[in-house]
Amino acid sequence: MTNATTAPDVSAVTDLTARLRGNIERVIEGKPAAVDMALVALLAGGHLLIEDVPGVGKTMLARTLARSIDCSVRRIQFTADLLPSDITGVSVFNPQSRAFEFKPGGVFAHIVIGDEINRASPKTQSALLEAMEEAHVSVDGTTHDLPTPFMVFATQNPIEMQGTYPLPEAQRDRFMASISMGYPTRAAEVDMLEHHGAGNPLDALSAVTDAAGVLEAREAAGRVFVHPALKDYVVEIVAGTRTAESLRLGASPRASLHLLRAARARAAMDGRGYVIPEDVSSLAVPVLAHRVLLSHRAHTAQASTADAVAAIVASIPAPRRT
Amino acid sequence: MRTELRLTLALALALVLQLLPWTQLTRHHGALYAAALTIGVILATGWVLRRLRAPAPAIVVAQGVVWVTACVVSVWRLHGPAQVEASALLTLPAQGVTFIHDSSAPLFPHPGATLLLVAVVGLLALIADAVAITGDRPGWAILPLVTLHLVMALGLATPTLFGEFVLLAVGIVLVLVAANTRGADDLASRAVTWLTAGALTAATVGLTFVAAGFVPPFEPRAAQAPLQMNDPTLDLKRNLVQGSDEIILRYRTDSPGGTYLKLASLPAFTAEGFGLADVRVATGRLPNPPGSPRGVPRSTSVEIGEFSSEWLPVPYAPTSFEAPGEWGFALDTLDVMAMAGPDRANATLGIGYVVESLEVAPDPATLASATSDGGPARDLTTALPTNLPQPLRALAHEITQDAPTAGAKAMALEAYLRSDRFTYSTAPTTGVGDGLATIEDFLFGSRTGYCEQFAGAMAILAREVGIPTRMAVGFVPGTEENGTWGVSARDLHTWPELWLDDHGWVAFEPTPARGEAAGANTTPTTEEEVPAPATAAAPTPEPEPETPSPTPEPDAAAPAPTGSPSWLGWLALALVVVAAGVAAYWAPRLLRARRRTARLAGGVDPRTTTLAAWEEVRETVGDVRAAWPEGSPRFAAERLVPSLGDDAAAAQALRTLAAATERALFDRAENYAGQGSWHDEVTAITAALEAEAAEQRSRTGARRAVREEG
Repeated sequence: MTNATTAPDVSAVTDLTARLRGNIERVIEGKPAAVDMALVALLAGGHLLIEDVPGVGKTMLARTLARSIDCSVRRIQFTADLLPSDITGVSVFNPQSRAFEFKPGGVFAHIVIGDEINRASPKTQSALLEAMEEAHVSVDGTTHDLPTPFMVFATQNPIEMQGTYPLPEAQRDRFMASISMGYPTRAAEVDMLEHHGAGNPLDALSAVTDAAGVLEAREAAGRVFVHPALKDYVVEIVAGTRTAESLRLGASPRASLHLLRAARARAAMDGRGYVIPEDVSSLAVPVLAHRVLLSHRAHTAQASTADAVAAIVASIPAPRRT
Repeated sequence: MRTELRLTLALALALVLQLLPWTQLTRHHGALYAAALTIGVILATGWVLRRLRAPAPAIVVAQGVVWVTACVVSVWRLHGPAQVEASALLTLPAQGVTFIHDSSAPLFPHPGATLLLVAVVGLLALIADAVAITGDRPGWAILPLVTLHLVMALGLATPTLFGEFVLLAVGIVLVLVAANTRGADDLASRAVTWLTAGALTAATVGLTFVAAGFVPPFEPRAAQAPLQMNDPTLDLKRNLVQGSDEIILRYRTDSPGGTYLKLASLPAFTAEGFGLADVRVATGRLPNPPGSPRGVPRSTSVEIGEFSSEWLPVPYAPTSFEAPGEWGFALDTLDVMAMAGPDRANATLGIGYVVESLEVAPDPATLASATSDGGPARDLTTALPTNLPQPLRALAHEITQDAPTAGAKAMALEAYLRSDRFTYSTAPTTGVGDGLATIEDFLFGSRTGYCEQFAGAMAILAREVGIPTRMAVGFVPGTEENGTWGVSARDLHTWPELWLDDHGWVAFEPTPARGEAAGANTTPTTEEEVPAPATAAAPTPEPEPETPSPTPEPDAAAPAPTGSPSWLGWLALALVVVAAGVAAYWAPRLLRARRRTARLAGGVDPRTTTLAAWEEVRETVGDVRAAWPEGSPRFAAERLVPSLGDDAAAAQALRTLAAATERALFDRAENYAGQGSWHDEVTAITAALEAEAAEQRSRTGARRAVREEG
């Protein structure tokens, strides 16, 4: 416990999580699962995709989290005419210095909120998604590093909506997790009317940590111990999506990595220096469901990918003895 | 999860092992394969459904459906689709029971027997699986295993062998060990498991061994006699094959070359073979032999040893006899039989008696001129089934086409059967009995058989050419030593008797390995002794026999009921069943107690100790019939807390243990520094669990009582 090299001190993580959660829940009410998932993605160093109908607080969640951290935040509203250079930045000729100068685009911030990402053209989408994966941007042969921590919150409307370009599977794979907000409960909605009737609740919010704090917590979460049996469990679940009859596209090895990292973060948030099977099983649906494709039969049966992944998780016995 | 698979496999193996000795019980190996397959399918169904987390009742119901299907499919595959039509299927069990009751082991293929075999074995497999795995009470699986063994032991007339007990022991050990390796993480507790399983098995097998000795066999083993003969149609081949060379009776006779000793006559013939007919039984003086034959008077004194029968072995045709006990005789056949008494089946055991008889042995020349136009009960003794196969009819006429008289025809038939076309053998592959199908196969197919087929063939063929016949069952003369003849079980024999006018019933010997017939032997060994009947111009006036008093006792004529097992045997069986039940009930508890002690003793490794303590809690939850909650220790513990009642200390102990277990399971081993002993915690948790379970039961009982009163 006291030996830092073998037993990570996760109290910093627990502490940070508590503060962030408290702060966020002052604005986002009655959505503990969504908030929790956002924090897991933050601590695991992943990007988060929030899919839902307009007006349920997708952007608000992202902005609240960004506001709670004292770091640079950029918000990009994706539209059909948004260009890739609007994301990455552009080199401009400076007549005074007689040289090209790089004007950074919207992606140069610790936290980037990509609003309605499926409204932009695929070319523009891919500019953002490449930056997400590489953590740097190359413009005119020069590589510009993105700041750390770097996290993208992308929101998108369900693909049935008009005027959208649904994200291709390869792009979706780059998001660590996908969540949907869902409508608030009746009580939460009444509460919201009461508290948020006047003024922007974000204005009252102050940061509870900074970029360095987040980096430190991420590092601590990354040291959480994972028993080999649990690694097997992760692989078994991900492999299960590749053989399941209900799915025609399973999850990638990158998904295994993301699931394990998310499980570590969840364990650390819970104050544990080790992962337990529930960390993995409870995260399987948000981490895997947006990466897989339903088979035609499952599709016609009106099943969802979340149902399919949940069924796979239920069918694989968790390691109970090691 | 792997424990369950291991247990399923162990159970399957154990059950199939118990089936191996059944090969002595039935020669229909297809039915045994079907039974083994049924075991596999039922257990596999259980395993798959448990994997799919089906509820226990659904598993049992599904296995029941599989069981019924397996029974029907087995009968269908092995005996053809006609047997599985609804009307036929419903009567099969009853047919099977009758067939088994009327047969001696090993059984021949029969759809009813197949159905019963697959049904019994499948049901036991279902029960074993439901109890041991679905019900999580592996100890109880011993009971179906023992039952399977006992059914086999009861069905076998021969004493069960040591090897079969070894199979039973191996089966039980397999199941117990497969069941009890869970939770036994260290070498010490594993050793305890093995030792306990071994001791338990030894006890069970010992009890079963004793039981099998006490329990009366399905077929009566009367007074330990090596040979029994109560239903001559059934016991012949078994005694021929299995009978020992031990001498079971001795006799002295003035007949040179010894004498055939006849037990019973089988005059009735159906497609199934020769059998007893209704007889009129009388006591008093024997009448003249039917047909008033000429013959040589002979005197024979017999001492019977270990041979029990309701028929007295006498040379044909008896004219008078003196034997201890109550004896009567059949008016038509002159068979001597025990009259109603408490122990008819053993009436011959150990008695000595003297018989006067008339040896009818006409020489070939006389025989050649004999006709066969009369004969008592001609309807019965010439009856043949209407569906007698054409080739059989043709053969009879072909053999006898050159013989002008009945006597010549009889000799032609005897010569035909004694020719080297046919081979004598009692190998298990030869058919049994003298049913039409067997005889047909013997004559046209295998050409291999033993006395029943040779004699049966001759009797059938002779009937076809119009000669009344009946089968005789008894003994060949045996071996002589200093004027005393010794007869062993292997000398049991059957031969045909043909009716020839003026000679009465004349014995023939168509079986090659048996030497000469008592009567009409075509080789002249006793010919010199037989006075030529032709020389006696006038028939010797026979003394008018005293009119025999017919005994109005039809029961006495029927074959004796197959031995009623003594109450002592049943008592022993009941005791063993109770003992096995008690053992099966207590065995898991004893094992549990040992395991609990071993787990809580604490070991060198705190991690192992913690896991063992957790396993102990888990098993205690099973003991109080509660479901073990899903999830990692901490979640399981939270869900278990309500089962502890209001015991806050126990709840705290459970949480502490759960947290420690979780770390023991999933944290780095070197980070784990748990308690050295969980004795107090586990004791508190166990006590709380058991108290709450008792409380629950009494609450349920009280509610029920209230409902009933209301």
